[in-house]
Amino acid sequence: MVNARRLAFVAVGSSMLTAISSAQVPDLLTAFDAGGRSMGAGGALNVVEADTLSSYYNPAGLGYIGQKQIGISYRNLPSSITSITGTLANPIRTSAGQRGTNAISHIGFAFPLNNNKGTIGFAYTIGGFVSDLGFGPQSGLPSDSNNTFNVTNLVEVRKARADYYTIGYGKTNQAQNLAWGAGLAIVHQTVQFTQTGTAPIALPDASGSETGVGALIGVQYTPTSTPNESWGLSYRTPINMKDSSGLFGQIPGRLMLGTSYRQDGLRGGKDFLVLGAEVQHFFDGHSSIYFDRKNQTVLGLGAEYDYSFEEFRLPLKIGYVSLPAGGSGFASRNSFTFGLGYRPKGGDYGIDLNWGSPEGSGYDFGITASYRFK
Amino acid sequence: MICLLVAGSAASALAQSWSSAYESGLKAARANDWAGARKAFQQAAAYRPEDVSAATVLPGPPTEQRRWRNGASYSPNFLAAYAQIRIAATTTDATEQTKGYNTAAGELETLLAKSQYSKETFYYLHDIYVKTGNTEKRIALETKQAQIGDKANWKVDTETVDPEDVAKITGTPTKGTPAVSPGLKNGEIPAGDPKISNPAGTNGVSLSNGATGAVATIANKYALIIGNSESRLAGGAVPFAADDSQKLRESLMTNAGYLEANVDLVANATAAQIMMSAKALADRVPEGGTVFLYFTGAGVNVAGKDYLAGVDTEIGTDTSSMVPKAEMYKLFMSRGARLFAFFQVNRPIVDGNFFGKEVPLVGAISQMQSTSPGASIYSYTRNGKEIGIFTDSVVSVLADLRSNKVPIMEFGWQVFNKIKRGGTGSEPGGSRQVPTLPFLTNIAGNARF
Repeated sequence: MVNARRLAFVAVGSSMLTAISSAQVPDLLTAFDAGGRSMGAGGALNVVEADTLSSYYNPAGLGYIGQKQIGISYRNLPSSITSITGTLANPIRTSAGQRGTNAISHIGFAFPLNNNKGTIGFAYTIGGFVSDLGFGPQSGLPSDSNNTFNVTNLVEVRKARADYYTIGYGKTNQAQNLAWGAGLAIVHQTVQFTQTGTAPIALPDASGSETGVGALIGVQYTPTSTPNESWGLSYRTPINMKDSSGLFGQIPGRLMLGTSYRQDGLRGGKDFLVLGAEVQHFFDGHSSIYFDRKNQTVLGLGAEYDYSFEEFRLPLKIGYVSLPAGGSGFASRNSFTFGLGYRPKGGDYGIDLNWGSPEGSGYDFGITASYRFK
Repeated sequence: MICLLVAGSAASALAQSWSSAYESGLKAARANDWAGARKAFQQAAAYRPEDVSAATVLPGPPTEQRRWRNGASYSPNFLAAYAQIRIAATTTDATEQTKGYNTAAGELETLLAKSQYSKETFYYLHDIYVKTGNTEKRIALETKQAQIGDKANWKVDTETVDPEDVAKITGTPTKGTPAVSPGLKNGEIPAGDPKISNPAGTNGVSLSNGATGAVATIANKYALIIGNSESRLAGGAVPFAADDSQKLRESLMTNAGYLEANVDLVANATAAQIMMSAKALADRVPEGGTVFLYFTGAGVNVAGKDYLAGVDTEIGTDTSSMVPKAEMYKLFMSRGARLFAFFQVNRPIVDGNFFGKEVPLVGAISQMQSTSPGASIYSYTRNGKEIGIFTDSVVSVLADLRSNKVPIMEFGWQVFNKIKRGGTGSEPGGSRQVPTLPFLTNIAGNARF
C-alpha cells in the first residue's frame, strides 16, 4: 500500500541513506513502551506480568488472568526536532527530543475460558514510533560541497509507526507455577519521508503503509523452591512486511527474558517490594530506505514498592531503561522512569501514572487504567 | 523454553495432588458426605502434611499476588478432625460415638501440640471433652487456653464448618441475628448480663457469645420450676426465688431446647399446689422422658427425709404441710423419666439433718444442691434485680453451652466453677457459697437433660 507520491530517486535523493546515517533521532522504532504498570519500573516487569499487555509482550501471562479484564494506556508519542546543516548530499542532523502528542497507545481485553481452559486476550498496542521534523538553515542548505544549488525553506518529515493487533492465548499448568502462551501479531506499519523546500530538483516524498504477520510464544515460570521468584521468556518472529517498495524493511524479531523477585512482609507485613530485570533483544530486522535496522538489545531494570494504606495500595515505581540506538542515524534513548499507582483494596480497578526522563530532552508521561469484571 | 516447560510439568503433579484432594474434601463436606470429606482431607495431608494458617500464595505475576482460594488457610488436618466430629455426631451407637469423638480429640490435640492454637480447635476439643465427660482434660484445656489468651490466632479454613459454630466461636452474628444487643458497639458488654459478661464460664472458652436465637427444641423434655419467694417459716423466705424461676424458664426455652408448653412454672405455691403441679406435669411426661426439676424456696429435712415447704407451711417440722421430695420424685419415676433436680435452698443443719440429706436409691435421678450442708444461699444484684447466685450460674452456663443435650456432670462442674469465680474471670476462685456437684442415682455422668 505504498503511496509514493513522488519517489524521487534523483542524485540527491539517492544519497539519503548516507544522509540519514548521521542523524540522531531517539530510537523508538522497534522498542516503544506502550505504557502499562511496568513503564514506571523501566519496563522491567513486562515479560513476567499478567495483564492485557501480555498478548503483546508475553502471551503466557494471559494464563494467570482469572477474570475478564480490560486495560487502556494513554501516553505521549515522543517526537524530535532536527536541525539540518551541512549539505543536502551530506547533511548533519542534530535532534532534540520532544514530548510529542498524546494518543491511546494500548487497548486490550482478556477473558478466561470456562473450566480453567486458559485465557484469550486481544490488544491493540503501539510498538514502534518515530516522528522527526527537520528544518534546514534559513539561509538555505547547499546541495553539495560544490554548492551546485541551494535548497531554501527545507522541511523534512520522517515518521514511522508500528501498530500491533495481537491475539494471544495463555494457560497455566495445574500447579500454576508454569504458564505458556502463544499468539499472533498483525502489524500495520506506516512510514513517511518527505522533504519540501525550494529547490531545482524534485525532493523525496514517500509514504505508505503495509501489514505483516508474526507469531509469539512465551512462558512464565515460578520455581517451586523459590516462589517469590518468577521468570518470563517470550519470542516473537521477525515480521516481514512484503516490502517491494523498500519503505518498510523487516520488523526485527524479539526475544525477551525477564525475572522478578518479590519481597513480602515489609513494614510489618503490610508492604511488598518487587524487583525486576528484563532484556529485549531485537534481531534479524531489515533496513528500509529511510530507516536503518540492526540488532538491538534493550535492558530494563526497575522496582515497585507497594505501600499499603488501610483502604488502598500505592505502588511506587522506579526504573531505568537502557535503550541503545538500533541502527545508523539513531541515538540511544536511555531513560530513568518512575511511577505511581493506585489500587483500592478489594477493588476491581487500578490506575498507574508513569513518567520517563529520557536522556537529551523531553519527558514521557503515560496513564494506564485497568478494570476487572466480576 | 522447553526446559522450563519440563520443569514446570514435573512440579505440577505434587501441587495438583494436595489441592485436588483438598477441593474434593470441601466438595464432599458441602454434600454432607463427612466420611468422604475426611478421607479426602487426609489424602491432602498426605501430600502436603502441615496445616498452614496463612494464605497459600500461588505462583504468578509478581505485582498482583494470587492466593489459593482467595487467601483461605490450608487446614486438612483440622478439617479431617472436624469431619470425624460430624461423623461421630450422627453415630447412634454410643460406644462408637465416643470412640469417634476420641479420635477427633486426639487429632485436635496434635494440632495444639504443634502450637496451632486456633479458636476453632479449642472450641471443638472442648466440646468433645464436654460430650465425653472428660472433665480432667477439659479443665486442662481451659487452663491452657486461658494461658494462651489472644495468642490463639491460628487460622483454619472454616468454609465447611457449621456457620452456627463459627458464629459462636468468632462472636460474629449468624445471618439475620445481631451479635450484640442493639445500641452496643461490637465487643461492648452490657452491664449485668451474665451471658455476655462471662461468656464461657469455662476459662475463656467462648461458646456462645454472639449466638442468638433459640436452641432447637426436643419434645420429650419437660421442666417444673418452683419459685417460692415467700415463706412463713423463720428464715425460709427466698426473696429472689420468683424472679429466679422466671429467668430460668426463659433460659431453658432459649438455651436448652425446652418447648414452652413443656415448662411449668409455679411461683409462691402452697404445698398442695406444688404437688398438684408436679402431678400435672408427670401426667404429660412420656415414658422415658426427661424432667428438669428446679426448686428455690424453703426446704427442710425431718428425720432424714427432705421436704419442700409451701408458702403456707408454718412449722418446719409439720411434714403434713409440706411436699415430701421422695413423693414428688415418685411421680416422675413412675413415668420412667430421668429426673434432673436442682435445689436452691438454705441448708441449715438441725439435729444432724439438713435438706438434701435424703438420697434416692431408686429411679434415674440426679440432684444438685446450691450450697453445702449447713450453709446458706446468697444472691447478688444484676440490672437492678436480685438474683440467686446459683440460679444465675445455672442460667449462665445454659447460655454458655446452648445445647439441647446438656451433660449433667459437665454442667455441674461448670456451675460449680462459675459460682466459685463469682461470675468473674477464668481462673479458679473462691466463694462463700459452694454448691455440690450433681449426686447421681442410676444415671450416667454424661446423661443429658
